[in-house]
Amino acid sequence: MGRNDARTRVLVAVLRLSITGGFFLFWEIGARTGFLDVFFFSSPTEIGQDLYHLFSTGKIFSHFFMTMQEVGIGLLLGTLTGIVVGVILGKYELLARAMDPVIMGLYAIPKIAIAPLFILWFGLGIIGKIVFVWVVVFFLVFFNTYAGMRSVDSEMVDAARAMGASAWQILVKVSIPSCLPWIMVGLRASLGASLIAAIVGEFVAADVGMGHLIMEGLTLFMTQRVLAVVLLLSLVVICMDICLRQVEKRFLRWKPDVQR
Amino acid sequence: MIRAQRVGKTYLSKDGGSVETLRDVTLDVRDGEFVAVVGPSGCGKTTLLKILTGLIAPDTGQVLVSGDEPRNLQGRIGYMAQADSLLPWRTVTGNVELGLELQGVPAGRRRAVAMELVARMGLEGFERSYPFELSGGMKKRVAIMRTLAYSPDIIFMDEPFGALDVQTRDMLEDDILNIWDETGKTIVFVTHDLSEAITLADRVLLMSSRPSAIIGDYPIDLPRPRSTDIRLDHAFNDILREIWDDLSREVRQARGGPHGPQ
Repeated sequence: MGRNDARTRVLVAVLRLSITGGFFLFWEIGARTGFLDVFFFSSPTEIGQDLYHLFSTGKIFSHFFMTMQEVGIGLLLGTLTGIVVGVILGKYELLARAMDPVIMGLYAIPKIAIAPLFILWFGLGIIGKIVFVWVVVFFLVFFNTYAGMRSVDSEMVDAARAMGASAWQILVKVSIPSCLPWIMVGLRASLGASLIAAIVGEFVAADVGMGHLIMEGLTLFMTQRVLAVVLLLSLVVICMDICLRQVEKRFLRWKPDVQR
Repeated sequence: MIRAQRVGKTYLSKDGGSVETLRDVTLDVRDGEFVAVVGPSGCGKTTLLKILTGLIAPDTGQVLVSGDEPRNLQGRIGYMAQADSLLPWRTVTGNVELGLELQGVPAGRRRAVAMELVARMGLEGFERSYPFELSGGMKKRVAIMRTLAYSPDIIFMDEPFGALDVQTRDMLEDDILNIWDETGKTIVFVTHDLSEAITLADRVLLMSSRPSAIIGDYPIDLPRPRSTDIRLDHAFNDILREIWDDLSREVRQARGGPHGPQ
């Protein structure tokens, strides 16, 4: 460490750049030499051109914002309800045991398998996708919050009680803050999952959205369109992840393993 | 004034059996007295302390603290557990202020109390540090400060320095001695370390192995104010030897060793 630290960092940056660059370079060379069939695999330049087209014509925006709305609202609802239900069931053990079969039963359902049902129940519009994202995120956040509530340090609770804390004060000042790292884990898993849910919902039925754009690209045999959308979606996940890291830095400063 | 009369507690174990931890524990602690409770590991010391603080209820017997049931006194007693049990998401001052905050004391006054304690305990410069950034001894000091901040009349301590190295322990024991000299609080200090008990207390109560009861009550006639140097004193060693024989018999019994019941 120490003096080597800066050099290691530069080395890592160079390696990252050359691996990513090399990947696209070989892809492009493969496409141009005919080693890769452009019909199936497209090429970086084709994808770049299509991205330019999508943005310059403005075609992308309505699709992008539709999917982001579904993801954003679904994430918000799923996170809030997941935390609330997780905290309540974590606090009332009897209720948790009573609810266990229902929750495990619902959890055991592969959510993607029932995506078409949500479209059936809530229609072809945005509502069906939001509810689907909500359900997927809810379970991820709920289970983590619940696990966090079950693992609150009883010594801390005893100390607070001896200091005269009421049940409400213990919940707000001890239990919920100590769940925060767990909630963050649930939230991190939810980022990718929420996007998957929105796209799957759009695959089932939609006339607008990134998932719809992928399906459209597929029916038109435009591999570059499909891959351009996929590229944008991964950029979205990366951006969301960076944002979450900032949130973690702010709220989990007290954890030794969270980098400052 | 703390008065426990014939207190008993039995736990159900996971395999359905029951473990009688306390049987007929009777003790009295006067106001302003420093009492240490010593017993072999695994006897009901922690259970007894949790009953005295009202954190758990006894199955039999009665506990009165200042004439009231212990659970009505929460907020007016201090409790320091084995683990430091600081809230890891709060800074040093945030932890110290916790008790006052729970009691609705305004932020300005809380801050003033915390700052004064930080200065008194020599933690200047660490006001905004999180517990993970502190050494074991500093964490203990913060836990002591947190307890002192809301000025409880009675402080219960459950082997607070068990996991620390000898030098740090001596330092913290001196802290406790100073605090007791300055404030005259009632302190009940549970430990398995006899020498620590004699160093600190006016009176040492010896607990038997399970089912535990108080089987010895030894006044410690050592001069005050004391420091941990008292251990070098001849009188200290005489007292230590006297209690040691009784304690080691209990330890053997707790372990079921060659001289214990089979």
